[in-house]
Amino acid sequence: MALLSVEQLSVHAEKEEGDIRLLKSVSLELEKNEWTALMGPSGCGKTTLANAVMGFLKADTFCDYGTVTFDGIVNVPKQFGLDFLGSDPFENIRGKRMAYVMQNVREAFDPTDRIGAQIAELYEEDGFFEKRKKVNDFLERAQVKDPKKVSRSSPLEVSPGELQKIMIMAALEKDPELIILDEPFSALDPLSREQMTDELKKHEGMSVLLITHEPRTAKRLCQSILFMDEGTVSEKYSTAEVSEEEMISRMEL
Amino acid sequence: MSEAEVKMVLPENAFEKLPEDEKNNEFIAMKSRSYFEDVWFQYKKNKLAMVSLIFIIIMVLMAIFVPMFSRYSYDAQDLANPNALPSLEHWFGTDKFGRDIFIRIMYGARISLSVGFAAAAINLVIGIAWGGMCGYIGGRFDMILMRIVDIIYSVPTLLYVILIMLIFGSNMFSVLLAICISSWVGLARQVRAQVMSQKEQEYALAAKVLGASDMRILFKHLVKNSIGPIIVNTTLMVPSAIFTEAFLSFVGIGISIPMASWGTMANEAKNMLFSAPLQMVWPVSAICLTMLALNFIGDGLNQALDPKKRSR
Repeated sequence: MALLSVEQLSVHAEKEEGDIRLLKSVSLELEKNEWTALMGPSGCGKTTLANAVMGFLKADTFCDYGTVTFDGIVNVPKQFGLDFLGSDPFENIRGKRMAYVMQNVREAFDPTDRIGAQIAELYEEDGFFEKRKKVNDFLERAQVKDPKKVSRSSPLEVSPGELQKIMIMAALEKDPELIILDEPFSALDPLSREQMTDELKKHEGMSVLLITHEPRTAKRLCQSILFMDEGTVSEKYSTAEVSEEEMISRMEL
Repeated sequence: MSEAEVKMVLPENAFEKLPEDEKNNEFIAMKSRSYFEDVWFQYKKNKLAMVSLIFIIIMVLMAIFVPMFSRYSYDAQDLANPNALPSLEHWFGTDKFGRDIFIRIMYGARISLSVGFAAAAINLVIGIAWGGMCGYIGGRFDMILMRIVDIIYSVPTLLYVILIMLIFGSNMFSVLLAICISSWVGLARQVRAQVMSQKEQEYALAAKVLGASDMRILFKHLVKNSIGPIIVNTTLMVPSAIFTEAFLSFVGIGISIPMASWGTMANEAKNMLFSAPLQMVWPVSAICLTMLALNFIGDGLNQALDPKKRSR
């Protein structure tokens, strides 16, 4: 059985001008230990799909039909907050068995809190000194320049590249079985990309859904590829059988 | 062009070694400040708000310590010396029973300030909890809780106040209850609106996907990010509570005599308005100055907390 399967997921947004169909009966499957790329033109619904897989919809967005199943646990994506009363099947999975690195990395940090304090939230059950040591270790592993300074800084003072490293490492911290990466390398220099790819590869047996605009990255890292266009997802191809030129042309649709 | 020719063009002294003390001249950086340090930094720039803050601090300290060490008490009468003018003995003079007005103003400050701050604190707690839950959970839960707020809002405040005063009697507890029961709804509405817009931010989602609990996201992140307007609103609640207390005491349903509150003092002074007008001036100017100072503080905080209003 597939680790993750999305079945006929349909999502629409209610706007003043009328309803917009964001996802049109999307179905896909991810196997264990499979790296899959998801490519498509901007605004075709890649991030909406990634959010929906994690179980979230933005405000005024509704799921009409379909389910997301992770390792036998069935979920229907909901608007943020409505799951407050303990009716969320993914509540105990999120951040532990499935992880997500979001696209707008700068906005993914609380602007009023220091980075060190935000990393410390990963280690909620530890004591004060234990936490501080773990945060330091974490930043060393993420290979940021000057970990002490980064820990004390606000997210607005740190470069997006460093934030991306921190976000990827935070997602990997609990050793997840599935990770969704939404353009995770966009602000990284080639050396840091290499580091982060190595970190990702260290987690054997992890499935990856990589949203990217770069054919080379997709070809180098992933075994299979999905194309997305205006809310529909194509069947799965093997990256070996699709040329880089074809990938580019499908993103320009 | 060959290498030799290039060397010819540059004279020997074209480059100079930078002196040791100028090495960091091009390094432009500000000390990294946390959110609240930054707010304090901005607040300090506002002179009026700083003066007001110092005034309120002095007022609080005097209200606490002066009655402890004074030889007068708020209800000790000296019938041989009524309606005295200010003197070294009695700084603000005495009232018609010969009671020292200065010490009564200090006792009044105790009551007024504690009513003001306690009301603001209670409102803050209830407003954040109620509004935060409504904004975060949304849906039908929000609908029901906000209709309750609407109902509370639609009944005139004075009606509650007078009813509560009649039931619980004229004392500080019932004044507090009367002020709090109606004024938290405004704050709850504001918190709800803030939380609703904050929860759409990416960081809330990021915290959620990293496995943070709802309580932590709501109170540690969402409320903290909307703290600016909340603090301003709460600060402005202090003078309005003080004013309500003074008003209630003035019309005779607030703090009961012989307890001194600024409202009751103004009430007693109104009979003497033409023979001893100074007796009215003291409590009224105490109310005025405190209200002004607290409003300036609220204004200063508003500027310091709102990044768009900052003057850099």
